Amino acid sequence: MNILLLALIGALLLLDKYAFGEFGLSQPVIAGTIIGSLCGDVATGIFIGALFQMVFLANLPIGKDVPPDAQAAGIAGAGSYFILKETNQSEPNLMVVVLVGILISVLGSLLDTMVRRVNEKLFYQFLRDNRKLYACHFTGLFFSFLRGMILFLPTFLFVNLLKAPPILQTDYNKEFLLIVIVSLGIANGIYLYLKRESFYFLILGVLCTLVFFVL
Amino acid sequence: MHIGIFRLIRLFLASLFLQSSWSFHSLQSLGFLVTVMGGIDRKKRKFLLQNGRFFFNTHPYMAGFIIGAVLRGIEQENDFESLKKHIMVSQSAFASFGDTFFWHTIRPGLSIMAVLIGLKCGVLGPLLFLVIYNLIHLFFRFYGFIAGYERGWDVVFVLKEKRFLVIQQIFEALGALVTGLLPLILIKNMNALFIIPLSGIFLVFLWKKVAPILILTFVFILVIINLILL
Repeated sequence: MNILLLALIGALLLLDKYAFGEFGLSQPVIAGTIIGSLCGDVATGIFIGALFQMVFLANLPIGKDVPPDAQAAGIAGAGSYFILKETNQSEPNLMVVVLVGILISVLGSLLDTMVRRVNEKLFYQFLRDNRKLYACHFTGLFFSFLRGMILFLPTFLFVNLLKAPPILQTDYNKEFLLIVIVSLGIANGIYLYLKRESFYFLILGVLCTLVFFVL
Repeated sequence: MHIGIFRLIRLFLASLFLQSSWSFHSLQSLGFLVTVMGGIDRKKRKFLLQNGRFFFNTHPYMAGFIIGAVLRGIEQENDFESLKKHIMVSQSAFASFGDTFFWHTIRPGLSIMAVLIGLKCGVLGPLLFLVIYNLIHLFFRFYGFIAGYERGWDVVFVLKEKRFLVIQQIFEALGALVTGLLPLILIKNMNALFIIPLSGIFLVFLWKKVAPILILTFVFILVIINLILL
């Protein structure tokens, strides 16, 4: 898929984080599915999305807090995987995906903070001239879109230049990451539900799983 | 008092952009003004622009409740200072409810479900997430405007309605249940036992409030170790 188009889709998906709608499209598992289906491999898209979803699950946006950018990490991770796959004509190493995710979640959070600071200037602009309400407000939307493009376009261009060595036993690598995803999910679940009445349902789920494994 | 279907749609569309110009200082103020402007007649817009300069921040899905009540207040020509006081009080209550209801309960529960079904059955998991999540989210967006407009500032008592508590409990139970079922996506072999120590380590990280970025770095190190050991 065209890199510019992929960056554009990524930037549009990232708007859903808070600038427009918040329909959940930017959640890593959803964004991964969308990018995967556009690139012709939904299963891997879901897999990469699931990894980032689980890492950032308990990382909740409260008030003015700007947590690491899980949404950007998921989009960049899935996009990078498919770009690597296309340029190298082989199954890429998932290690690169994790590394891109780490870098983009930090960079995304920094850019997010920058955009919010720039938006302050828009507010003061409005205070000086209240006829500019709509212009100031929707310029903020444009800045959020720009943030996505600044994040994804250079990342995808850089990833496109990488010549990743062919990876051995990709299936084993995937199986290992699957164990990591499940472990992260369980840890997050226990962390979120331990002090609530619903913890009994978690035990019920574990018992069902045990029955399945034993049978 | 009824809000009217066209006005409701206008308000809904404007509320989708509530956080477009979110900043640390003004928070959702501009988004709030843009949304309210979509619900009042032209004569009152100028008045609002001159008097509506204050800070607004609440949960984005719950903003409709407050905006609906503000519209009613403006139409009844309430004193703007009293409107401001009501907004200040109710925005924290709705923010707190929205954070617990959506960010702490519905989204994590549905996310774990989407991962479980997605990794097992493909696109069905993410699709279910989108459908269920947006049914609830859009209900709150629309219902918020209607309830706020009809009830005025009494709308804050909506938060005590039992049905929302029941929905919250259902999603907590769902999240907990699918967490327990997560190992079902693993292949039945000895490697699956690794989830026990790994879950323990990740749980310690979460309890110690380790930054997610460090958890992701830890995952990266694990992948490297895994590659070396191959």
